[in-house]
Amino acid sequence: MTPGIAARLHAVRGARSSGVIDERTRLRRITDDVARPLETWPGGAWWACFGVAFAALSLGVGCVTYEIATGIGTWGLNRTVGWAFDITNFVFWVGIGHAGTLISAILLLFRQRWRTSINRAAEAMTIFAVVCAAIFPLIHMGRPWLAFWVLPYPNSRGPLWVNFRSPLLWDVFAINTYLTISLVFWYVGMIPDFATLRDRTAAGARKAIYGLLSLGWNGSHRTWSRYETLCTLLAGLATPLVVSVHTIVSMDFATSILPGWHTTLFPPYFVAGAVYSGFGMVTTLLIVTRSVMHLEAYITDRHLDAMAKVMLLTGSMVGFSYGTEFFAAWYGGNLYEFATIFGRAVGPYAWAFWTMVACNAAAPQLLWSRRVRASVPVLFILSVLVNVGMWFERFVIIVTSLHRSYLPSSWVMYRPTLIEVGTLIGSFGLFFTCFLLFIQALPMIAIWEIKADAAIGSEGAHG
Amino acid sequence: MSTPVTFWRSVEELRAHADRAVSRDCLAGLRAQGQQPESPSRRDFLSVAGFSVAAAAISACSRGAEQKAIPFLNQPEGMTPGVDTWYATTCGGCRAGCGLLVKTRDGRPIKVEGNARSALFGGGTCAVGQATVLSLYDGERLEGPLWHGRPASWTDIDAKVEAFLSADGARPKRLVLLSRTLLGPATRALIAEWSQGRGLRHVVYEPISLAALRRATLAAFGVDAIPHFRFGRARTIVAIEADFLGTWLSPVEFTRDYASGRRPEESAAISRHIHFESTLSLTGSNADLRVAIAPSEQGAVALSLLRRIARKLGAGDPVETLETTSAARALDIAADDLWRCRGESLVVCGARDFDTQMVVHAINALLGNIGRTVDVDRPSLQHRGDDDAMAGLVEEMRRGEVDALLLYGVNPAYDYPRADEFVQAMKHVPLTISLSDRLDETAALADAVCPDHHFLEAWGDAEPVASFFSLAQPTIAPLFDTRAAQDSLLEWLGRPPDFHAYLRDHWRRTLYPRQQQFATFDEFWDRALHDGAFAPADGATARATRTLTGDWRRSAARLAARAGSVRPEGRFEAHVYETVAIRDGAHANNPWLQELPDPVTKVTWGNYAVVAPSVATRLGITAGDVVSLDGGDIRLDLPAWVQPGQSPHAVSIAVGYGRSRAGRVGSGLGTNAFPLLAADGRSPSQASLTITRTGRREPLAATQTHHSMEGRDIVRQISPAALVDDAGDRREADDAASLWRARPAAEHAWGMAVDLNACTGCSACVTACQAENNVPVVGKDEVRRGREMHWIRIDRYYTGSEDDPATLVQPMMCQHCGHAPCEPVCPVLATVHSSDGLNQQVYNRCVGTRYCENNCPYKVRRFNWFEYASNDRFDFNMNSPLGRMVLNPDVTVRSRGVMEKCSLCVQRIQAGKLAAKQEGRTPQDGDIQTACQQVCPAEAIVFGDLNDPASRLAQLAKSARGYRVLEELGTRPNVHYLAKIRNAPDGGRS
Repeated sequence: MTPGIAARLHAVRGARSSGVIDERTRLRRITDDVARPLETWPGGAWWACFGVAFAALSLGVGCVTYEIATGIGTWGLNRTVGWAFDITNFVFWVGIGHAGTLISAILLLFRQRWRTSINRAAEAMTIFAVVCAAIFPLIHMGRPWLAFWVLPYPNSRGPLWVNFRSPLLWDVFAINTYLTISLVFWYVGMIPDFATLRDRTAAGARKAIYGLLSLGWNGSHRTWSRYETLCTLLAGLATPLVVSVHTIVSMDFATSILPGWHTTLFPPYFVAGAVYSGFGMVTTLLIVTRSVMHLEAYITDRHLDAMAKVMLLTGSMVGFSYGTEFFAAWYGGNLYEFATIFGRAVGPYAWAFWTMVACNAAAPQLLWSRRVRASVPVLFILSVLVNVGMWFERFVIIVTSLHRSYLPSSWVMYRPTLIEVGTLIGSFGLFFTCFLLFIQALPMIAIWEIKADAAIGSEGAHG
Repeated sequence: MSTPVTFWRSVEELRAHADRAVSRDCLAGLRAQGQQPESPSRRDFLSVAGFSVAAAAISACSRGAEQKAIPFLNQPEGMTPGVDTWYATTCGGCRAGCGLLVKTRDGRPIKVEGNARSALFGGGTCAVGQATVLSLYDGERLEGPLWHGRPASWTDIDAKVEAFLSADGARPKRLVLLSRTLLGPATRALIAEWSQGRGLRHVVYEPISLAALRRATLAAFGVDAIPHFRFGRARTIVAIEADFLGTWLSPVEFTRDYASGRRPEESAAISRHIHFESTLSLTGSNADLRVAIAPSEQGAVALSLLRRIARKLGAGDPVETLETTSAARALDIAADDLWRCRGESLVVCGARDFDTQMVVHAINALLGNIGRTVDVDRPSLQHRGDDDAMAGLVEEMRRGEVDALLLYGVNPAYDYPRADEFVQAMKHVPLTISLSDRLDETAALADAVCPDHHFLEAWGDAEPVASFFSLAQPTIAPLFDTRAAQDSLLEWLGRPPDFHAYLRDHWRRTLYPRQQQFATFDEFWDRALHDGAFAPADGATARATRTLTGDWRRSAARLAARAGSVRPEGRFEAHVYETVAIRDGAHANNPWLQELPDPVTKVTWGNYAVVAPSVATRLGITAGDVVSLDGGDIRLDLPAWVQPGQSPHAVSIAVGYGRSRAGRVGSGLGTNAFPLLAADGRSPSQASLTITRTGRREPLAATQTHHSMEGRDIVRQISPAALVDDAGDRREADDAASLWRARPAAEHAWGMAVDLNACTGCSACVTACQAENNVPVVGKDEVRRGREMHWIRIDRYYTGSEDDPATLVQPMMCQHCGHAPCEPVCPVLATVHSSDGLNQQVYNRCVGTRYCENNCPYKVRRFNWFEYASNDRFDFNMNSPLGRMVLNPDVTVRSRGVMEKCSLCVQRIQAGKLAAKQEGRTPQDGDIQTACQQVCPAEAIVFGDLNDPASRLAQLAKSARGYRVLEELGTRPNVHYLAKIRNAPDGGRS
């Protein structure tokens, strides 16, 4: 018994009756349940979902190819509105990723046991979301084949370095860091599970692959001890990312000069929004996945209840931020700020603004009610609305500040083109394709973590 | 960079390689190196593998397409590649005949500038003048003569023509030359020879004609010409439907003169400008007081003004209440100001009505303006159109009384109001010859088309104002197998077709004797060619033309009789006008002009029916709704435009559109409004048009759709009194403290000042910048999406009420901010600040994230959304080798995905610094002129060195009128603006 697990025993005394995991589940059954999708062909539901996702992905690939070959002019941007769908989608997907990191890392450090059923899937969602996000800064460039120029590599042109003062460059560092750490954390967390799968599989290609991926895991106490330390360290590394990455993304706007963008409120506002949208997406995914993959015993109503509470908290923070923006615009006396912020509510994009407010500030208030939190269909609808609202929030922030800024002579309307809509659909296609492949190819629940909790529970309290 | 390098280890190997064909891939060197390899170790393998992979990757990267630069076999004398050569010539873009200096590079003209030595016109040009350099490279130009639509040779055509002219000797052939106003005395002399020799009759036809003004001048002063108006000498200007700053008569000269009377730093008195017109024109938008009237009220306004002036003289009729309240008040103010400045005042009128012009002449005469601001001793020769003669000609043609018709610079099959009558009449003429440069609507019907040179390829002369002469010389050898119109005329006259010799001979006989400065004709000729202009000192002897003869009282009575009629309910008067960009449609195929936003409406690529806001509300029309204008026998369908300040009784439509044979760019664009000229009523009862909605929509491509300043301090306007009060005050405190260390001071600090009081909004700077900096044309659809590429734009705002707005314009280009918001946000450092104050855009480094565009508060940055050059989707001037000849070799053509913006003409700055350095001195103020500065007829834009305290810019930057746009943001722009002065009458709107 390693000190780490002993500590957990103390910490979760009485967890046997906590109801986090169905007590009757036995350790072997856990492995069987989680490994079953990996060992069988997927059912019709999976294929149907995969067909749709792959079709969406193909549409996206076509749209992006056309745009890169022909020019940014295939989008609806113009001389006044330089960003719209592209950066909206970027921020949207980066935000979604934050839930996974929060669940994996922060909840680990806070020793929240209920995270163990969902952290693997959430972390995978983070990876895929960040991949989707990273595509947009690449394709939104006018000359994406030169995208590598944002990397500070030694060169013979001076040497010519990048502009370290530019928030877009901080994005480069932040996203790359986020992706790297998330990938490492995710992969390291799966090593014991790969070992389990290696041991379950008969000799062949699959066994060799699992063996390679498990890096020779032998399950000894010393290995587990080092592993625990590593996980804690990685969690510590990943924790600041939850706050820092979206803070840096918000700096894309906050450090600019535009009314409606230039505000110190953005970093906390964006981080709260990111966690909010991330939990929305996790809830959506897990509600569907747990019923399709028959994992209701592991992703229980307690988990959904906890995630709903996080959504309520962060949604309230987001709603409060909206109020703060309006107050500051009114009280601040800056006529440009006033015109922009109040223009959101009454101007040509008011429809987007009020959609955003309804989905983000009003809808989550329903989650105060325990009955609502317990109703899975309502929770599903609310979680989808959360993401719709959060997409519109980024759209409203970006487009309303751009299309009407300082000089009225440059005011225009922005309208998206089919290529932009197709690219957005394609990003969802990529995300869901990756996620669907993930749940079929990799253990979507952390087997070793669940078993550790179940083992602690069944052994009873210790002295 | 096309010859690959081969490596060699010894001289013997090099000599051995020299005979072999050179391999074109970059592994050749590697192979040459590896001829005798030792057995490779793993390290060698890795290094070779690494190198070859890298080499393969690099060689797979796209190289630029190979282009050949072929040097001259015989270098022309005086032409150095890369060095500009300038020629003085005369513009042929319209009839004004402004002097030009044309910049040629490597043997071809690439930029047109005004001739600062020209006493009349100065160094500025208008937008049309700027665009004429592109029309030289128009792919629509005919490459040779045609006979019945098929290419023929010049000898064939000459033979046919001469055969026709000399055949059937029973009676002489009745020949008619139908031409535009011919400015050149030599050309006129040649035609006079034809008249004597062959009995040629010369009819001058102008689609927008000032014949009424000319006839009135003849009747009133005995001078068969249009007076030369001297706006610079007028302290009060009253204009009735005359867009003299935009399209009327001689806009460049008038703008220059007008601006000279409104510079508070140079003279205490600011002129006052009162304007009466139907639609808000460029000139009306600059007026201190403007009143909207219906076209039929022009006569009534003139008559009312005459009565008020007569009353001042003590010989007036009782006041008539003919006009509306606002017009009455304005007329009172106008009369007071005119009387107060009598002798230094000017009334001009653009009415196409003889009686109105007679009354206006009477007003000017009563005010003592004749000989001062209205010069009939040296009148203008710029418009000599004769409507009656043209109508008579059409009638004669129809009756078969014309044997041969020569068409020179005219297109009546398109722009004659009863064009179908003309086309029918043409069929009765046995021989029709067109000298048009392209197969336009009229040339397509002619028997022979003998294409004339473009004016940049031709010899000629001009006399825009009597006793002011200028020359035109070729700036490039003719591109195609065209022949000068005068050469054709000489040939058919049986003379040697050498107009150059004829021209020289004419000047030797008529002008050389009028000067004393040069001893030989060749010296005089060279000097005249060099300077471009020649004004003999003798001038016309003063004739007794200052007294007003002619029966102006009868004209006044006729006007009074017409004025009282009632306008039918629900009908509108047709008002036809020229836009600044397209004018009469001759340049419809010029993409620069089609894309130039109209100075008032900011609409491009098409015309529209302009209606007043009250009318639009009443009829339920919004901009872009297609309306049907029905005038009995004329019916036009075109989109509507709602214009503040439009007269509620008139619908205005611009001519020059709706061409069927302009070319790839101009054909089928808009609706032909010339037929409405026949419907132009002289009295309200003749108002004929009804407006009905068709339900269709045709969105217009406007570059600016929001017209209010929203309470923001963007364009400042002050009254002259305020200027005096503030004269001592320095404007508000300099920039606030900064956290950033100041940049090290360099030798120069380039900046710019824009005088909003001098700027009229004519948009010549927009076209000049486009010509100088290779700015692409994007087409109507892209302009509708908000993607026009102009580096400088003229923002136009309205203040006041919808029916009676005041207009403010502001040229806006990159402000080259000291604390530029665009610079810190570019991730790859593609936009940086130079040591001499320029915000630089490095095209090669830009990856196109567009953060700089987002962060610019002035929105002056332009992104290349597509590949605009060599792209069939944008088939304008950059898609053909001919069109690309106009490109400025000093400026990169930007590729797709790259941001661009005003560079303060950095290529000119560098050229100026280099020229000064070669002379061993520093650049002086005025050595370096940006394109926009150089072209402005009002000299509203001033570029200079803020570090030079003696520079004009430094003086203007300290002006009490000076401010910077959005300076409260802390951007520290280097472009200063000088507030506009509106000299509103007391109690008037300010």
